[in-house]
Amino acid sequence: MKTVVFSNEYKYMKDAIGLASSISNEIIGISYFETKEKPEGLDKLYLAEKRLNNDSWVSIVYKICEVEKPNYIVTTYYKDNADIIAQVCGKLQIPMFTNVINLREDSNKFVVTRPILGGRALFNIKVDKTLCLAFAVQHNRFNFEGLSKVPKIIEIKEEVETRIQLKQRKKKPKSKIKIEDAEMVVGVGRGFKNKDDLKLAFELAELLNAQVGCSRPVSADYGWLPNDAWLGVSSKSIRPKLYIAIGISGAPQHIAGIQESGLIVAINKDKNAPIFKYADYGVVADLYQFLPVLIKELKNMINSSRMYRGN
Amino acid sequence: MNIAVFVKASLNLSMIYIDSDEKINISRTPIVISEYDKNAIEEGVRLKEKYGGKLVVFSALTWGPIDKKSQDFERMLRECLAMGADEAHALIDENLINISSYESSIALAKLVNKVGNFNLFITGEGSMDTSSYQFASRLASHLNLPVITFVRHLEIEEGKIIAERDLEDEIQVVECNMPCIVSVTGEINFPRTVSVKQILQAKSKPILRYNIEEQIPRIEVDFEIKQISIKRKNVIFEGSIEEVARMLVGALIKEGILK
Repeated sequence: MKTVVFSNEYKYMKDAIGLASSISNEIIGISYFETKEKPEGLDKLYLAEKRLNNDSWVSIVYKICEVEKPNYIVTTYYKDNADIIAQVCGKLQIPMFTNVINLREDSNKFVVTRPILGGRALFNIKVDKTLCLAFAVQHNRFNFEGLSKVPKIIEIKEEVETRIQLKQRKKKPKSKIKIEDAEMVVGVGRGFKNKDDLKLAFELAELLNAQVGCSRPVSADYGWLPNDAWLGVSSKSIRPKLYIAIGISGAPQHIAGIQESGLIVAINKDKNAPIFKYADYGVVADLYQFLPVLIKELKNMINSSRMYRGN
Repeated sequence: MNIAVFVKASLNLSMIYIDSDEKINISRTPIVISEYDKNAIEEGVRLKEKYGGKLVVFSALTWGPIDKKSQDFERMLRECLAMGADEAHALIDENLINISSYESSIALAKLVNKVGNFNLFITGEGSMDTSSYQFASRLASHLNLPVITFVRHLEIEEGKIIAERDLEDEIQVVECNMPCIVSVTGEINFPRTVSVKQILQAKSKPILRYNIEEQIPRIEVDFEIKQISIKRKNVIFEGSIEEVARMLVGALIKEGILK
């Protein structure tokens, strides 16, 4: 079986190679290197010498697929990768499964699993594995074990016409620590009335050594926190030991991003807020009244344990 | 300027019907307009108000059974018309039930070509139920047009689209000649809400229903949708604020979270 793996940047390629190596014995890569990385796990690598936009990538990937005639196409699920491969799949008239978290073989079928309904349900799809299929896999789901194969490199040299001109690229502001890697996360929502009031949450987070995340409106609508703090189905998913949701009602899109947390605490003044259904511990209170008291209680606890330890 | 907007009749996420075996019962779950497709309609209405022209809605009913879903589907189309669209063209066909964007993009591309010429095609970044984020890209291939995905801001200058794309790590500003396709994010606008009265008033606007005339390719799949359920303790602390704070800290210590 032959698989074409694609990522518009090589750093996102590993997840795709992870799945490809479990369903095929010949892996052809197509990518571009932003930094010097040693490609591995591929038999052949078509390498672009410069950054390309999606429109150009579509023509290139389509042409390579026509030459290579792969059984499968695999990419890692990022917005641009999904866009490019969906266009290629449109041209090839083959299906693509987006955001795949698991794939197993069942005689002549694949059973593909992906989260749907805002992350509240799993979609298990059985499909004939002899068909030409494409998969966009979720990051961190398919292990890539150092395959020592060093690929033959083929440079992509041809100039492709593009119908879309890139005018500007603006980097998004980033938090220092990745929220996906934090053990404790404090989430803030619309219950906060002003950006300034978030200092209550940051004070709590500091005591707990936690990162601060948020629901969609706090980042996307109000811009109080950077995009990479936004927890939810169309942004970051987290699996910390503790998640404290403050002033977050618990829209399904938010729940999808936090439901795999070890322990969930919800603080909300509306006792009917859906968040309480997903919480281990709930506090029905106004956050403006409750947080200062909780912060004081935690400080007392920390001070007394210091005294106890003789610090 | 003529604009085509594509909307999906999505399973209603706040009214998902779950059977006792934790499987999602599609037949008993109502359908509504998918969240970001509402932003697509809103953007279309705003552009129409600014530049004139016709705004046409396209949709395919993909959840069945048809007799149980057709009323919701009609209501969704009326809502789009009440928001400001001029007419709706809808595919309702047994052969389209349970299909994915692989099939729906082909079927709707054929329908669009039959209905007329458009300068701009708008849809949501992805559907809220199956979230495959492919429709706009696939449609672009079938209509042989350029596509700009994940657009959070849109301007038109001299027949060109200037769009801000919202990606994971960066914002891109791109430019493209019309006709082209854009998929929009939830940040692009605040969709207007329409009253029941406005929906009724939209009754005079046409809704055209079609079967599929020629067979479209279809992938045979078996599928099941199961709820993800993680058991939670659901303990609500009661008492004064001070007592509750103490109980919470106590619980976090007991859970081994605080030491």
